[in-house]
Amino acid sequence: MPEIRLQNVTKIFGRKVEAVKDLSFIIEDGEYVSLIGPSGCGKTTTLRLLAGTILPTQGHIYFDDKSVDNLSIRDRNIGFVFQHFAIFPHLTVKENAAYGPKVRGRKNSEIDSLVDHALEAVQIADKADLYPPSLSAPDWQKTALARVIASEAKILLLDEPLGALDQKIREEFQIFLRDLVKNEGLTAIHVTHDQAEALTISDKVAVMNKGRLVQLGSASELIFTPNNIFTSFFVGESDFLESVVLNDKENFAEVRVGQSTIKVRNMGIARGKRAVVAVRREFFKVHKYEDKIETENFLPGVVVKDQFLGLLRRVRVKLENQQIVEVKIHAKHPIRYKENEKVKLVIDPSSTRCFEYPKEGVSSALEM
Amino acid sequence: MVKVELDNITKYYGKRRGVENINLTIEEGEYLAVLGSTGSGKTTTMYLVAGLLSPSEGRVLFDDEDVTNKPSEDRNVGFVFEEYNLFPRMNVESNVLFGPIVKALDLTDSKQIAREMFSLLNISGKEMNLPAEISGGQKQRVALARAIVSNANLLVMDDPLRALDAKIREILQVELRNLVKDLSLTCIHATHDTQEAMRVADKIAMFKDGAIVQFGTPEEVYNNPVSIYVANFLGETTELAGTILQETNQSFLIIKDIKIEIETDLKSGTKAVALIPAELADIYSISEREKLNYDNIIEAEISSTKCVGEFYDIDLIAFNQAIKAKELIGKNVPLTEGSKVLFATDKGDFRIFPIEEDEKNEKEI
Repeated sequence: MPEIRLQNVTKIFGRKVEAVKDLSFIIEDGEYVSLIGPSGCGKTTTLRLLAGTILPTQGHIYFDDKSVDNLSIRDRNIGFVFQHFAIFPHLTVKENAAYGPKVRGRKNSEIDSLVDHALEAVQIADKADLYPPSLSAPDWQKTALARVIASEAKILLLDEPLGALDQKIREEFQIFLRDLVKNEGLTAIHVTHDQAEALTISDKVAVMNKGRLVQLGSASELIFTPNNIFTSFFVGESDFLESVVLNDKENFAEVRVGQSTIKVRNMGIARGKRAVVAVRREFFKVHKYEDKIETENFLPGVVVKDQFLGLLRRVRVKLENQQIVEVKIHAKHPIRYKENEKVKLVIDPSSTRCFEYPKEGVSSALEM
Repeated sequence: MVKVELDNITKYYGKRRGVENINLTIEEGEYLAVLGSTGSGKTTTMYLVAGLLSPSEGRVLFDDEDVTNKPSEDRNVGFVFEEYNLFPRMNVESNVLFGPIVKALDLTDSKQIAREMFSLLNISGKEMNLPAEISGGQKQRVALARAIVSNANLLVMDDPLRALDAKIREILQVELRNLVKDLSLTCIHATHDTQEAMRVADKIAMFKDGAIVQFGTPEEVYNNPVSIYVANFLGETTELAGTILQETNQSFLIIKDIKIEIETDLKSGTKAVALIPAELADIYSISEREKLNYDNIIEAEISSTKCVGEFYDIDLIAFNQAIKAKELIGKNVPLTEGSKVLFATDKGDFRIFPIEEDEKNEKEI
């Protein structure tokens, strides 16, 4: 199983379109990594650079410490699966799977055993002699995967492979795909626009924006301990409180937000510096202003709207500094908040993240 | 603002049914979401309102005036489609001013309105860019500005956010609703995404196979789905099949030796399905039992969990079967696989459908 390493990879299209910039990261043997980010963030370009369909303008790519800069697509030993199923419609499932080993000049007996194994692995052996047009969409994708496995590729590149499937089937296929990759010992890189898919299927997720890698980490790292403001913004939903650090204690820092002082996680920002406190919308707790509560760690505000969405409720609250933040609460939360009602927005310091104030301003830092 | 009525509208494409017997009223200034899967008749309905198609039967009324035979350009409607349909060789400003120019409106006024729209939609500074030079989210904002700038009082949007990334979609949902309300437009917005429909709309019309199967506020539709199909479309559910038992002031669903308190008027002995939406299946640690106030609390076992951003998706075993649950990530829930937890529901959480009449219902609706 190969380890994949990108070292300062930059790709410029034409004269000036920088699709990826100074990208460096390592994907370990047998790891399942997803790339997510807004459209145009460079995720597909990264995949194409790994495949070798385009070459880096600067930097190097290594598979197992060997540079692949001069290796053609064919010699990189990779398999590719796209959203739109690139399989031969005039060949049966079995013949599709046999295509790879055949063009590589394997003996017939070897081809048979490779193909049999591949069809078993993707659970499509019972449809081996059918032609693609008579198959369902998931079976087309299984055929494409069988072809990759029969060709003995060790790296699997997936570009929105589940994009054309319905939601229910998609969820089943995610589990199937992950199990397949793990059973076959592949290293997989999966591009998707569906965050939930990335978080479910992968060992690690790489968040990209504007051609750069923003953060590479496990699902729970990205959700609970994002290390920068863009990840907090892009993965799930957060609100950002502009503040100034007043005091830093061992376990928490005190910051001023508008007229209020609250405790937040201490992430090493010096006293007197401007900071941005990121709070996930699920982590705010909302109480009526007159309620007696145990903590003093809250921001006062007035309700703009309490919206019922079935799945949950979203309460929009305007803070004293006029910023509007949103709280997600259970659909059956016992209290319905009225417009203009005064509330306390309670913040648990350990659930917050506190980042240095970005030089370019918060909205520019979050620009996609 | 305009009030829109579809009076018994039917549209056939040759022999293929687009929509049949649609009766629908959108009040002045109301935001209606048309919700349904692919092929349910959403787009046909949008086109009929906009005047891009004429109905095989029935009438379209704007403010009680019959506009069935009025061409699209005379209906004062702004459209936004899934594909942005911008003119690729015109810059953003020319795209937006195309309507006012064609309609020979006062250009100084229109430019002023366009500027306001740009700032409202957060695309100021992009006026001179070509569509290819801006992002998908910005293109859709331009399309929106173009739809509104020529004094449209009705906005018709056919899955306008479909092609956008989830993050931008979520931001635009809020912007869209605010914009429509600020400008007091009447609005129809087709989508296949339940959360989107609930987020933007005052009312939802749920479509299936060319007909409206349910109509109401988001809360009415969510709380009282008329069929198993609608309940499943609105979100993830688990089906429990059993028999109804009526006792004094209490109703139950009996599954073998298990008794679940529910709300229903069905008679004792009726075979029924109870659907429990995943987000209403609440999970607590065993030690919290004393504090809880639910109609049904039973022990369950967690079989798997995953965190998908805002929710934990939890599979558990309760009532001898697999149940799906969702909990917001801010809640402290025990999540170890194999651990015992409390599974809590209220009687009103279950959507009850009698089994025999089910098939008939589906046809009737």
